[in-house]
Parts: sequence; C-alpha cells; structure tokens
Amino acid sequence: MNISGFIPVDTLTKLNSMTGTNNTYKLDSIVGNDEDKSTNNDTAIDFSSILKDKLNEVNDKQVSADNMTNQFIAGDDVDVHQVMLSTQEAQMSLQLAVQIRNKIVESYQELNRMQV
Amino acid sequence: MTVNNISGQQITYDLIKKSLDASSTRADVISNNIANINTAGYKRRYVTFEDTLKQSLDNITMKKDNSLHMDDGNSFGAISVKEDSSSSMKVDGNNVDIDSEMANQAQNTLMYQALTSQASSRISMRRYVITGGGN
Amino acid sequence: MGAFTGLNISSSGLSAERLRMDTISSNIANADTTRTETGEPYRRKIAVFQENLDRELNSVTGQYETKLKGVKAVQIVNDNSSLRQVYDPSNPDANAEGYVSMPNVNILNEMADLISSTRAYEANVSAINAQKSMFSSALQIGR
Repeated sequence: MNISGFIPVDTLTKLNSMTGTNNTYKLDSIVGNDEDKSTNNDTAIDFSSILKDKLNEVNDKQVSADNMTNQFIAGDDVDVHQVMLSTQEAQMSLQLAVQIRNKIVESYQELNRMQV
Repeated sequence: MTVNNISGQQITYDLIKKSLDASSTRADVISNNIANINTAGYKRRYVTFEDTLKQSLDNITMKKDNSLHMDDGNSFGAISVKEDSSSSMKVDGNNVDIDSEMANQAQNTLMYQALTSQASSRISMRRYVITGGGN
Repeated sequence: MGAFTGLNISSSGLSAERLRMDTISSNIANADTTRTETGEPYRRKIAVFQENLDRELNSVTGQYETKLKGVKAVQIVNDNSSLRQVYDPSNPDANAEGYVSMPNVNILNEMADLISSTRAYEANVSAINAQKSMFSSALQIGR
C-alpha cells in the first residue's frame, strides 16, 4: 500500500508552509525517500511513519488470520476459537483502517476547498 | 507517539483469549480421562492455569507503565497438563472418577461458552465504535 | 491441541468400549461352550486397553510433548484362571471320571462389566456432545 498514492505532494507543501518553520510533516519520507533518516528531527511527530506502521500491523493481522485458517484446514494444532477471533480481529482492523482512510480523504478534500 | 500503557480493556481481552485456550485444552484432557475410564493403571490428568494466573495477574495490574508484549498472553501463566498420580480404590489402579469428570466437563463447557460470549460482546462493542454507530 | 482432538479422543473411547461390549457378549453367549475349534472348552476373553499417546518433538520449544489420543485396545487375551469342573457323565465331552470342564465365565460378573461398559460408553457420548456445543458457541463469535 503506497501512502503517496492518496496524499499528493503539493497538499503537503501547503501544510508545511502553513505551519511555518515547524516542519512537522516529513515530505521526504512520504514520497518514499527513507535513506535520510539520520537528518530527520527525531522528536517531531512523524504522521506518515505512524500510518505506515499501523497499516503494516493491519496487514500482519490479515496474514495471521490467513495462516490460522490454512493451518486449521490442514488439520494442524489450532483451535476453532483462535481462528474465529483472529479473523474477527483482522476484519475490525481493516474496517478501522478504511474509516481512517475515509477521514484522511475527507480532510484532504476539505483542504482543497480552502481559499488560499 | 508510542503506547506504553496497556489499557485494562486490552488486558481483559487478552486474558479472555488465553482462558479460552486453557478451557479448550481442559476439555480435551477431560475427554481423555473419560475415554480411559476402563484402562488399567491409567492415572487421570488435569490442566493447571488459574493458579499460576492469580499470581501473574497481580504483577500485570501493578506494572501499568511497562510496555508488555501481550500478543501470545504468556505473561498470564502457562497452561500445563499434569498427571494426578494419587492411588485409587480400584483393583486395576485406575483413578478416574466418572462422576467428577462429568461434573468438571459440564463446568468447563459453561465456562467456555461464557468466555466466547464475552469475547463476542467486546468485539461488537469495538465494531460499534469503529463504524460510528451506523452501518 | 488441534480443533478436533477432543472428538477423536472420545471416538477412540467409544470404539474401545464397543469392543469390550462385544467381548462380554461373546463371553455370555459362550458360557456353556464345552468345545471350540481347538478342542478346548471356551475360555473367558478379556479386552486389554492402553492409553494412546504420541510423544513428539516440538520444533518450537525443542521439548518432547505428549499428545493425548485417547485409548486403544491392544489385545484380547484369554482369562487363564481355572475352568469349572462339573460332574456330568452323560456329556460327550466328559473325561474319564465323568467331569466336564465348563468355561470360566461367571454370568453375574459379565453383567456387571456390561453395565460399567455401557456407562462408560454413555459418558463418552456426553463428552462428544460437550465438545460439539463448545465448537458451536465458538462459531458464534462476532455474530
């Protein structure tokens, strides 16, 4: 899942200019340029990397639900409640991620409507 | 922004999952005891979980500031299958009491059902929050 | 434990008890059989059970774990206690002194064994029902 796909670069330029020199939005890391981490401000809140981590966690939950189901079908050592709970958790994580995406898209559209 | 405080809700949910594992193992062990009711020399087995749980639960609730890895729930206490080697009255050395096994089984089944219903309600609650009370 | 371990364990118990009941039925039916294929009188048969276990190496923890698999019937042995001697000179199988060796089957003992076997069978059936209801309630998670 590529984050830069749904947060275009020019919006972030607008955000950066609005917050002045506080540079909390890491433009580089959002377009995928991760090699330069050492020069980044470590104490600043990095929204894009949080988002990336959480999406990876959502993906991990999907993968683990798939693995559990496969093991269950193959007759391995999983219990039925483990399979049910892992699929429910995966579903909820995905729903949450989709809702967050909706909110981000809404706020992006809101920003676009602003008269600058 | 890291989450160091594991909320009480999360602890309870992980505890429910671990307890479901223990209950499921216990059901299998009780079935094994019942199947071996007429096996000479067989000693009944049982599952320990709740006694090690009590101890570790105190440790967990006190240390709220640690980032505990709750993923597999092993901090709660191990589920272990033990053998009860007490001697029995029967001539063939078998110490399975059919009535106590049936009673344990009924109790365990109810516990499992209560736990699944709890897990289910928690999931519904979270889903309600996620979907904003709508669809 | 796998998802259906409990059911497999209970079904092994059912098979074992059914075998035992068949043995008992054979004993009762042959309580007066003075001549079998070998020429000997019928000897009471006993089904011998053993716990069915698997010891396997867990690749994750590196330790041996026992997997419970219920019960298995290992043998059907003859009861080698002495045969009853009954005085009946008119019987074709009587020996020189007129005594017939009758099978060492005591009907009352066999009936008591049959009752205990039936009770064990019913207990295994209730174990299967308990496992089934647990399984069904797990399937309701999240509905």
